[in-house]
Amino acid sequence: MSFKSKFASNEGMQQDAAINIASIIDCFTVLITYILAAASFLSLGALDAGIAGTDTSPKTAIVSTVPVASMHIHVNEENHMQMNTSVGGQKAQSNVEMAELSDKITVFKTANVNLKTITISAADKVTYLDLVKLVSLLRKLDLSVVFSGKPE
Amino acid sequence: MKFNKFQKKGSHAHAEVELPLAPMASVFTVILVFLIKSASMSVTSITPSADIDLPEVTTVSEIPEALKIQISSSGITVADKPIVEMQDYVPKERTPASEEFSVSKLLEKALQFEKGENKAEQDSKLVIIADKKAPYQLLKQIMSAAANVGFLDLKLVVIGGE
Repeated sequence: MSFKSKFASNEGMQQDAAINIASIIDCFTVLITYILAAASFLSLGALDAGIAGTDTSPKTAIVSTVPVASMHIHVNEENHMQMNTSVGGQKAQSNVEMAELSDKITVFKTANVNLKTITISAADKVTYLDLVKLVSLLRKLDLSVVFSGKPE
Repeated sequence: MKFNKFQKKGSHAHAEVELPLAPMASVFTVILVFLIKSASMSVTSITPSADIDLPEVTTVSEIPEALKIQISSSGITVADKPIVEMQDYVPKERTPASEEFSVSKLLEKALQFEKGENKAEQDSKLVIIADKKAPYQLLKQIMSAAANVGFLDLKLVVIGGE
């Protein structure tokens, strides 16, 4: 009995119970503004590189008919580059500029498919920016980079 | 007369014009969730110190969680601890003058200590956050110290994108 009457009285009231959204929106606006202001729009990334002469893994003899190729790039103080290559013990040296480096490496890599890593060294005054540009270029060519302390 | 008409109409209509706030709240919720998610998705929290001007390049990979070394014109820090004080990339000499001073040795000790502290978390990776004007002479010493301690895999932090 009491249940029925209680329900009936509820029907009679028919009130709209609405959540106050305005205050939630205020809160969200403040939060979004704060997050956007605090967010850093610079995307940081990393370039992979290694250090030469530190490979301690046991060597296994690889029998290959392809001559072993290696490349060493030395950057001098005027940002000119010296490219030292070795294919099956045959050494060669040439001077290259940054603009033509990509083409020269691509040609060398096509001729010597086993070239996977390039060693880099630089003069003392060469800046980190120049080295990073070089590393970035080599990484684009799908080559690993290792740093060396001395020119070859 | 006209005014009367107006009054009459106004009192009669008295309709509440409400802004539909519910869809607005939904949109805001989506934006908020997206922003919070994207903020927490960045794997590492790297905040280079104010005096470090990072180089900009394209084609970069993600920065892994590893020991960080920062190189600025005023000094070198390892895991946010100042190790070497410098002025324009030239290390300030320590006193007493007789004590042999070597950036490489100092860094080696610091890296060794950090490696020992976080042995489980660290592997051979070392994140280098250097100013773009840092000379190779200094980087060489850092790399030498890192190699001696066993950090062979370098991650050079740059500004860039895919």
